[in-house]
Amino acid sequence: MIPLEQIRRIGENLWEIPASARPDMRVPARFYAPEEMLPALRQDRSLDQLVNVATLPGIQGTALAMPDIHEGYGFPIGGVAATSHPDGLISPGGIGYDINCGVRMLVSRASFQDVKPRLEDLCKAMFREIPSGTGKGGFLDLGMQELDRVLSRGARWAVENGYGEASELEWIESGGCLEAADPSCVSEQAKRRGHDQLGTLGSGNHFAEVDRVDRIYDAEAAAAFGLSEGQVTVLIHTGSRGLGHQVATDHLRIMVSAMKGYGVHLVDRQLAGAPFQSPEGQRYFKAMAAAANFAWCNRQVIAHEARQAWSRTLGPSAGPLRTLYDVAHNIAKIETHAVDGMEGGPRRLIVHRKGATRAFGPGHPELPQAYRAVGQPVLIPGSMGTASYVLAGSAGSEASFGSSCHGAGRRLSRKASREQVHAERLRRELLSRGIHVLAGSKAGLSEEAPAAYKDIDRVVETVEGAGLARRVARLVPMAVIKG
Amino acid sequence: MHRIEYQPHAADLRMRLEADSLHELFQAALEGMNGLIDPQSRPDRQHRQDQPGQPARQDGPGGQPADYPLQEFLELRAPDATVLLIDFLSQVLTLGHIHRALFTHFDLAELAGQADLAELPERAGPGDAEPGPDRQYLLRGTVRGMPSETRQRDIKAVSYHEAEVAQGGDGLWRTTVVFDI
Repeated sequence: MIPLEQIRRIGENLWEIPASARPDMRVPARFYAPEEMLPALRQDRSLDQLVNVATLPGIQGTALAMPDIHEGYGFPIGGVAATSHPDGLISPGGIGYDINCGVRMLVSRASFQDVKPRLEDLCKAMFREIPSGTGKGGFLDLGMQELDRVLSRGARWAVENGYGEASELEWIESGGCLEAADPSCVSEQAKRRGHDQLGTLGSGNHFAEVDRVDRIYDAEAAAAFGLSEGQVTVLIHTGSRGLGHQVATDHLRIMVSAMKGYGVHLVDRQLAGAPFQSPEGQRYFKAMAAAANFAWCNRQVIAHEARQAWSRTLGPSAGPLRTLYDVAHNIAKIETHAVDGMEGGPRRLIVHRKGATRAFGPGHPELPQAYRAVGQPVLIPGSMGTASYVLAGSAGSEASFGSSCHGAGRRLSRKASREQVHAERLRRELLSRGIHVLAGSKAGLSEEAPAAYKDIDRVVETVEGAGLARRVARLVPMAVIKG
Repeated sequence: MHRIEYQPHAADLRMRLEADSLHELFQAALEGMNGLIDPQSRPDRQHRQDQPGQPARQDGPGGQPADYPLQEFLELRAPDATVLLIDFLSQVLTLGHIHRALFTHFDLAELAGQADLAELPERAGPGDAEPGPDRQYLLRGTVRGMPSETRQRDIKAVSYHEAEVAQGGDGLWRTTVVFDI
């Protein structure tokens, strides 16, 4: 546990553990959190893990964590670390096993009143159309050559094969494709795990959800995003499935063995990495990009499946589901940022986000023209039964390497959640509040209960107060499907 | 003899293992991981699954299993016993995902640490890893299992986090394993 005297407040909800706290720290560790969360944060190992991140060779500025921080393995969840490009380390643990786990948001022209009479049917239709559950395959079973095209082309593959429109690629982070991808860097085992998982949710905390816009905070940004109160929306949360998990496993194994040869010695093997320019670093980056492309393609196909359920249930009068945006929250990107305390202006960095979302502020050239004036949409899913948020990236996100939180962050272990929450009672309670839930697993339902998560309202207030991103709209769930 | 204890973790799963030999630690790790994927696979549960009046599940004649039609040979090399154990679990997990099976039995052929490996041919291991000079621990053996669609839990990966295979002063071997789910 980090001693309290080593944690000092440097901003309203910003805390710092100085680099002097431990001899092997190369930079300070900073985290965003409201003061009331501090005691709980010191109980798990998340801050110790953040301090470990601060020991990474080539780390720039500070090791950072967002207010949804919780204990992970290696990096804490909610962690952000930037290493120098091109000579710094790339660390698969700084991205996680579920490469490009992220969120897609679809918006409709329908209102809550339009959809309410058919909500239960819509929930059932989505549960039918979107495969979910442990180890479940989907409707697409790809040969190796076709899978390689997915890994190269990302969401573009889905559009080219009839799952969506080319015009929506603009609304996906990085256009739904990282050009650095190289399918030859992805192992045969990874491809055998992923060949039939395109268009599937998986299990755990992955879900698809029908929401309605409950409140608008920022009228200008809401207008730019096409959001209005009472509007019905869909959120999809999933990643690269077994293919991504295997890519991370394969390359972490390589890095664990290779890093000694580069003079890299780390306090936690899970932080293993290699110089970005090394053969191991390059192969991982290209494989990670390929897995990220698989995830974007996955969410594009699931969006198609959601649209099928939508149109079959509600008919043409409900109108289409349009992509508002799609964000990754487990990924490494090459980006240009200023580094706190360093002269020489902005520099190229390898930004690792593990449970953190990119949140570029207004004017950033990577944003779609329609959003550039207001900032990037940042999609923050809550738990079942609690709110989710759409934020807009603020100029102040430069303090966090252009990053924001990714969710509410867990506060209860899965075991505690299963012991405290009865699945059927939870389902009935949610239904009494008008929220339909279909889940493949009772244990999964208990583990993902609202009580297991931090207060999402406080998390996003903290992000807004820190100037990283500001609230645009609050969403409340109406129907949830889970594996 | 071995002991498996499941411990709480914020978002994932953690188990603590204890065994009276290194080989037994590997067996415990396999059993512990499978117990998370499918609790019915735990030996105490399997015993109760046997039907009254029927013989308990046994290997067939000659020591070859009658009930475990899937077999995969493993050869793994690692810089130390900790990495070897995690890589072993990872590989079994991967095979389970690929074959939609649960590999519950492990027949160890060789578990060598600090062995003279100069005589042994270097081959690329799983994940197309390039063999290197630091691979000083070796495991060879066969895992056996059967098709299984009854996974209660989807384990994404086995992490190296908190893993440290070590023998205590009491002679027992211990480690923690954290899984990403």
